[in-house]
Amino acid sequence: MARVAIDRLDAATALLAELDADAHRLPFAKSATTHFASITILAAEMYGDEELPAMLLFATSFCGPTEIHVKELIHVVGRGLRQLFACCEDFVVGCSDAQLEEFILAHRHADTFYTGMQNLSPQDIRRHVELRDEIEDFIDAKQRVGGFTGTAVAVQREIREHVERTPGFEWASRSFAPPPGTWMALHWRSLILLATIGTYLAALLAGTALRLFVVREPWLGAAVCTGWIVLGVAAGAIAFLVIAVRAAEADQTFVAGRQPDKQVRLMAATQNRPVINEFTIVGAVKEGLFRPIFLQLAMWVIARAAEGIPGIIDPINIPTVATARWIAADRGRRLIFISNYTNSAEPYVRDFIDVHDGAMRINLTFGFGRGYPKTRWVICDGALTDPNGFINVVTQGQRRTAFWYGPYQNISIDNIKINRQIREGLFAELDEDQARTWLNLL
Amino acid sequence: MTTPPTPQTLDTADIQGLVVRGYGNLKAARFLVLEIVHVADALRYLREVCEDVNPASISPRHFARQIAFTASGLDQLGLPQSSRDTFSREFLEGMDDDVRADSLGDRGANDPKHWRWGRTCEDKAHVLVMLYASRRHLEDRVTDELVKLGTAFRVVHRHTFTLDDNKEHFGWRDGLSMPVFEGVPPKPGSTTAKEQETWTSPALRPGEFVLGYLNEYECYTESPTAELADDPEGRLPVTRDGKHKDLGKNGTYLVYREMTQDVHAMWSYLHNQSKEPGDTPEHKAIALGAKMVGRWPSGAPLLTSPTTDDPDRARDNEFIYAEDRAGLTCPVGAHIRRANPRDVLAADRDVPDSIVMVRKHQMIRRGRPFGKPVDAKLDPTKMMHAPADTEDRGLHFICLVGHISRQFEFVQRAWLHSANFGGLFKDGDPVSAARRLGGDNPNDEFTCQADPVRRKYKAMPQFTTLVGGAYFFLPGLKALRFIAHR
Repeated sequence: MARVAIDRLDAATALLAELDADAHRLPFAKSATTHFASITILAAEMYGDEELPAMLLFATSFCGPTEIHVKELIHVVGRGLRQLFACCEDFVVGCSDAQLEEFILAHRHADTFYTGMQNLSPQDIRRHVELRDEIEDFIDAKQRVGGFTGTAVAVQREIREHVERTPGFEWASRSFAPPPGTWMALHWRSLILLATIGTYLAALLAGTALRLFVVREPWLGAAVCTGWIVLGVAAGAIAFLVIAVRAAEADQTFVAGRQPDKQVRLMAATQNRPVINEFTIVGAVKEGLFRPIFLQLAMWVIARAAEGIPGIIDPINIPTVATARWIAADRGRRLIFISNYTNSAEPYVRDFIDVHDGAMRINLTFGFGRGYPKTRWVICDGALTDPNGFINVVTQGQRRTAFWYGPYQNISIDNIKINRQIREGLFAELDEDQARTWLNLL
Repeated sequence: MTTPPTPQTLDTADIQGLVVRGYGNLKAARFLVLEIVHVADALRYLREVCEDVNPASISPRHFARQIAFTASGLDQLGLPQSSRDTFSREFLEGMDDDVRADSLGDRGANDPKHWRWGRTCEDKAHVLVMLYASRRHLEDRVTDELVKLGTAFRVVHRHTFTLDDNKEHFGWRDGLSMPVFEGVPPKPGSTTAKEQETWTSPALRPGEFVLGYLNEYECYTESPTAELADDPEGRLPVTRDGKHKDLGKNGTYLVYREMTQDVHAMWSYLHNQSKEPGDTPEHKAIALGAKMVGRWPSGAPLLTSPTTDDPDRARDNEFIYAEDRAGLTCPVGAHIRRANPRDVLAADRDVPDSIVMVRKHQMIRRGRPFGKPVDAKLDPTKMMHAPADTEDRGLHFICLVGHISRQFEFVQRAWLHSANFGGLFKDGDPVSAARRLGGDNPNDEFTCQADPVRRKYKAMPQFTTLVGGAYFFLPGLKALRFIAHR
């Protein structure tokens, strides 16, 4: 995210329209790491007496390490990006590749990110579609001449042997595991958080027990006492924040009404692709001192939850979402949501709130937006009791994405997951029940 | 423990009867799609008949009349702009709006530019008058009505034709699996009780289908209003906040899609392509048809009659899909499973979540066929051997919903016409989808899950074609009087 120079705002808007119209100028299709890319200009808006500046928002959903992705972006779409970033206040026109990389990394904004892309690269996804097509064609050909007569295991073996014989699918038999370090890259924050909290609490409890029953040293007493005070202060701060937010909730009066039909239709028209679409919502956070702080804290906690406690839970599972990110921008004063998803906008938004737990999660993540229906204790009421108000505030915040790259036109997130399972199961040793389940994927 | 919601009572004296009954006892019907020519005469007609529009409180024995309006019809009749703007966006934009047509999949042969009637066609739809009567009396009733209509309207007749056993032209029993909602007593002997014990318990909130009542979100669906000053005679009730008159109260939205059915194409395809088990090619064809629909022609669902048609199970509706997630009995892409996924919505949704979601996307269907059948008894064997003909036949698909976008359009886009529904890849609805052949997002396949491996049917032709349609507002009777007395 970078500030747009006021005098270059119109030029930036015009340039984005040109870039969107000509895929050769930002050829993301040549990128091996990019799943989705979107570029939007956020207009300046007032937050109380403060002006939130116009910003260029460039978002990519990618696989692999950030550094490699950024270097690849510079190689593949660097020329177009340079033209685009020239509208930003602190971009040096004519900069070197290293400076461009530095600019991108310096303006990288923390977010809360969810991905349903299964640790796959764009090449994996394309290959899996080809593998599936090859298997489907083999089954069709076989069924035209009498079909399969053996057990499920035998059928799976036949399919596997066919793939092994078919040139161009050598990759399918290779081990399918994410690159080394993937697991740690995804979970290190959660691990550090858990380790820090766990160690602190364990040490505090152990120290307390020692002080009470074994060692009477004054220094230990002081340390234990300090530890409990710090814990109490932290708990008190959180409690204070929650109460402050609750008080602000009680004062809320403005709830977004029905948005102009013309505007809603315009947005709907941009998100009418048959399978995967993109969605950007931008809105100022409800005013007040504590909401921005609470929002940033909540986003951080959700981000850790979204990473999952390693190997135990996957707390946020959204079947229709390829990727989603929440950004608490401008020190928590502006909330941005960008999603690449299966379906079109209105059914997708409905999907959020059709289920009770989903609506509570939406309250937590969107409930701070100005005009959002009144919540109670952050997660209650809101979209649960006023779904129309929720739809209104979403349409109020919806922004037309000036540029979008999404290469998967015909496959849904479900399809991507299923294709991955097909590949995983093809060369696995399965028993009869497992083979049946695997064949049912086809 | 959650407290069960308080049941609501419907004001059936103010609700048009079609909401609670399909007038199955009145076998014949005629739908008159009217274009207003003279506004004053049109209002005079409405004032004359509005007291004779049948309410839901009384089951008529001989004749019923129902009246609905499009947005442009309400404009013509002089509804104030301030009221007009309070109707839902989808109603105001219309079914044949470009963006909506894209979203609904109404492209190719179904494109509104090919329609016989609609908002933008030569034959415009302003008012819909639906007449129901016995076969013997219908023509007399229609003649009377045409006299009343006079020269106020240009009339486009949409004929109906009653087929035996409530069947449609492909030969399947229609109108099964209706949603049950509060405030409507179940018919004696219906399967309602069983339904309520399984996947729809308790009955749906009436706000899903009738404006002015709580819906499944426990809130009120957005509903049109009028300014207090626009109703000096006090015909309309006051809104809950007391600031407006409630124009939507006891009304609903009516979705009308007229589609032709190519019976020859369907049965030829089934007969020539079926790879399903069966003793004869005819049995195999019927078995494939059953897989596509999810029920046998008698109406018996595959879930309770997996291998053969069983007319005794024709009205079975108490099945769920949890035991058949893989679709080995009823294919994942079968028509009834797409239209109403019940307890299994998608791979990643559990049963309770699926049910909660599916309940929010239900429709009351009130369709009627038109045109003479290929075979009077709708015998599949005879239909599959019958030569192609030029008879214009099909279905007036009619459904009633409180929220067009959330209910009808959602089902149409996300479930029925999605090539990727339930993790499928290139399958549209086998019966009703407009085919996208090749190119982007093709949907001309049907996957029939089987043990050990699926059978796939490809290059499926389009069996139904949309030839007209519009979104209507079916007002409550007080609102109808308000509109008529402009």
